[in-house]
Amino acid sequence: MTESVSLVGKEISGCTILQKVAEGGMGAVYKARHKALNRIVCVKVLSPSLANDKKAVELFLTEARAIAELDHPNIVNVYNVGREQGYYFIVMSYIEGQTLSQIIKKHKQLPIGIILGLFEGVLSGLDAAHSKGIIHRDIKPSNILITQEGQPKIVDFGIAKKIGKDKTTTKTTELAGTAYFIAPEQALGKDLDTRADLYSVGASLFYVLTGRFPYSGRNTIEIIQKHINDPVPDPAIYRQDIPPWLSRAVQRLMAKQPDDRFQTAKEAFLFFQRMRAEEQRKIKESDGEKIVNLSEEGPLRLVKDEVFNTTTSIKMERAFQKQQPAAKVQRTSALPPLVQGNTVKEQRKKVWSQANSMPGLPTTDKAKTAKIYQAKAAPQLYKVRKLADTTIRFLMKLCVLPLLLGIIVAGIVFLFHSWGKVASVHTVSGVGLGQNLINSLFSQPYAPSQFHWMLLSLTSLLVVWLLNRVKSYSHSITFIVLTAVVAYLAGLCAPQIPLLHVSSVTRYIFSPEYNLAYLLLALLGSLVLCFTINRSMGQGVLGATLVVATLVLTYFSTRFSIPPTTLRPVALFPFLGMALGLGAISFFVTAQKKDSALGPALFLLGGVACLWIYGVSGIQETTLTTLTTLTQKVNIKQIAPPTDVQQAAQEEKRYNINSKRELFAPKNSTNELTHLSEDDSAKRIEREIIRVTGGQAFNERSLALFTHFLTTYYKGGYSPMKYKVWLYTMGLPFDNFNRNAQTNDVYSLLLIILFACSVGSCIGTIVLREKYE
Amino acid sequence: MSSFDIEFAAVTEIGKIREKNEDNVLISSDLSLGVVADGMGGHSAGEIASNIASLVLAETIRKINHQQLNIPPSFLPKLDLSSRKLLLAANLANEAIFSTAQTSTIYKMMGTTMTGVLLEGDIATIVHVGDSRLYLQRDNKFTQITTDHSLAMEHVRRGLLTKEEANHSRIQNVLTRAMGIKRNIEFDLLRFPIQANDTLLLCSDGLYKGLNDSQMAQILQQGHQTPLVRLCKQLVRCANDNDGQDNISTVLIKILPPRKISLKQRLKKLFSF
Repeated sequence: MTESVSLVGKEISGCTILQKVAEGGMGAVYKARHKALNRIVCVKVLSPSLANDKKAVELFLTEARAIAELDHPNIVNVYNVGREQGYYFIVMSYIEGQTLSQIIKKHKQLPIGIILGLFEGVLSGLDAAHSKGIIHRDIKPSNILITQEGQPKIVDFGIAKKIGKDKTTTKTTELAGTAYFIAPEQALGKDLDTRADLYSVGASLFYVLTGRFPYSGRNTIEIIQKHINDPVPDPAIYRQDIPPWLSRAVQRLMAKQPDDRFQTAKEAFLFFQRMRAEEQRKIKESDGEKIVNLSEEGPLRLVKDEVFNTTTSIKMERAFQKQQPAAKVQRTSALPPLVQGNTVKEQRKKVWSQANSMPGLPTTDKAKTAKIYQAKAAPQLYKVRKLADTTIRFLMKLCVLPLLLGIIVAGIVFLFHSWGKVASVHTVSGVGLGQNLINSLFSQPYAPSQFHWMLLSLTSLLVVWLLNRVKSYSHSITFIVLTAVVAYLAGLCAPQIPLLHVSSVTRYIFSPEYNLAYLLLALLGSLVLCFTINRSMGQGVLGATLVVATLVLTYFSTRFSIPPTTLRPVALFPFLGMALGLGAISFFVTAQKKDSALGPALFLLGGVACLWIYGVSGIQETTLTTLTTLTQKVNIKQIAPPTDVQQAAQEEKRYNINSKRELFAPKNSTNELTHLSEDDSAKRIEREIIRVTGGQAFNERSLALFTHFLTTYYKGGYSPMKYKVWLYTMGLPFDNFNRNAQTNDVYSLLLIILFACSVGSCIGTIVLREKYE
Repeated sequence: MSSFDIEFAAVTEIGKIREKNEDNVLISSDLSLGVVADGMGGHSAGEIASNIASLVLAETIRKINHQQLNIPPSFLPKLDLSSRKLLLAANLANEAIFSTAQTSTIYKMMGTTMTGVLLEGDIATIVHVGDSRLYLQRDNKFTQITTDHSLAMEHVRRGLLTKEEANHSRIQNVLTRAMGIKRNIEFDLLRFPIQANDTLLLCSDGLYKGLNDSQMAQILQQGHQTPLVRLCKQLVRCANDNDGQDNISTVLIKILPPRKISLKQRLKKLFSF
């Protein structure tokens, strides 16, 4: 308290406060100098917060006055009690010395003779107090001061403790009296008499003799319970030289029932004295030999029986309690109205054991949980209700939402529908794109099924998108993977032939174009997954699967009738592609951060590119060989290059410089086509090709293609032609795809996949989301 | 947030003889939280301990709800979210009181009881330590849910005293557990599903010393239609008239029957995922 701090240096009742010695919950103790007597005294000041509590003050004063009446060598002397400057105080004698507990901590075991001497003093002091009707209530070794002359003095005479006991005062977590030395009746809050102090003396004696507490436990409650219930321990177990009569005396002092103890401090004191005298006599008689066993003597046998009886009766009591715990507990912990069945105690035990096995924060204690409502009836009802709720919501979402959203979606569906038609066949040349879009709405659909597929898939896709809002994509991964596989195989159902004959046409169904369609989906999927933050494990697996699928499909969609080249660098491309693919897979399996997403996306695209280049390299090589042969046979007249170019070429030759001018034809050579228009040149080349090959080797399409390549060669040179060839061969799968889309249902198949995926995703989302809500 | 509509009311009263009110009550409809804390000990800092307890509890829950504070994944992972939230908050509150108590002799040895109810979904989660109590009134039955952490009650639990004896025992106000006394304390955690028309009564020891269970139930039943605050005041007034030796605090929480919701709200609920 701030007030009590400022007391140092002040004067109370003729004493100058020197320093604070101790501070407790109820007040502070100061060392002070008594001016008149010129001696060191001890001043105890009641805490100002209690000074207004009239009852507390009354008790403080009456008890202090009572002690002041006691003039006993074993009780600390009180010189003055009163109130000054608003403080209630007691002036006591100041004792230089140590408490008994301090001494015990230093010297583990004192000789029994000394201990008995000290406790005789304590008992005699207590007897004096008891005769005045004062109960100490807190006898313990730290409340027994030993003066420098070796005289015990009882201090802290229950002044504050009595206040702490009163019902109206504030609550506390500390019981009046120290748990290690508390009498059972005191721990139970029953009415006390002087015999409670005797129990504490017994417990203290036990401690001083053996150096250990009579009962120990994890917490105060456990110790208190043991004081109430456990059999009285035998100090002789812990120390060999305790005479049997002493160990029985300790046990008698610590009897559970006050009636079984020594009835007064005086009785105990006299008993101790008598036994010590007897022992002295025995020692004298036996000339210093070992003390004979005194346990068979008259009065002690009685004690033995009493202790035994008390102990067994307690044991039986406890056994009885164990048999019928439920009846006692039900009375204390009322059950809530709903609950039937288990008792609270049983439930708690269960939950406690659960709670104890749970790890906690470093700062947390194990949580003591008690789910009172764990009983059977209520939660079942609750579950049924919950299930019904969930089912209704599920049906609502499944049935009502698609219908509601269908209306909004219809407009968008029409746009996509038109797009599908434009993209397939129903384009009218010479009319703009917009006109084509409008026309397509009114013309006959290309395939009867196409419209339905598209309508369904796009509707469900939108529904799924609105439901999921992308976030819960991961919930339905399994469905996506499954439907993707099923959708790929769904191609088998496309041709309108009996199922048994399907195997004979698979070659035509799983064409490069078909694979290409799936390649695009797989590639898109895996790229999207590359950029997904916080992938789940499912997504990782899906990503890796998609990478593999992408690479396989790349290989299949670029596989034509002409095999790939065997030229060295290009022939190694598949291995490079696979290595890059592995890089992408390892990303999906290990890393989870978005930061590294760009790298794996490039890995994947590089892998696809490598395989793609390898796949089309055969066609490219063949085309170039054919073109080279043609250039040698085609008769196109060369015209001399301009003079400045000729001069430059001569200069280079003289100095042995190779600038590869022939690669840039327009710069260093001119021919008869140079000054002709594009159309005229093309016609000229076409005539030449037909002349050279006899018009047999090329069909209409390839003739136009080769004419285009050769025109580029003669007007631009070798490199532009090679570039044109490269462009064409690289785009060949797409070219084929588009061309074949006009004759097969490939777009429908794409839409099947879309549809299947969206339905799967929808179901997955709805089913799995319920769990999280 | 709770799936029910909930009404809160709280009253605290100093009593007849005490010079200050060491109790603290806190109600928050935002958090669906009701707390009663009964401070004690120290020289005069009981009210500070109870104040810290209720404020830290509410503030921590608010922070967790707003994701300004995350519950460590290792913190009791087996429990549900509400329990973890409440336990974490209670532990932080205890830590706060304990460390404050170390800072000054004024605060030394201060502590508090605390009983807090968090309503989330249709579950009430209760964290409890000390001798404040939670009662539940349901279908005209009035029941004490929490168990006091007092030495007398401990004896009752072990069959050493009867409940009647305990109510008049000298050791009635000796607590076995309280917040702020130690760094690590055990909390009781209780959970039960709430129903419409339930009334939860949180109170400090002042109330149940003045009124026995049947008297409390009577007041609550009579005032079925009266406003909750008036009920609260009535409870406190009666307890004060009967006893008044201690501070008296009461929190009443009433679970209202579900209202009819409009088509607009229904649609909004349907489309909100």
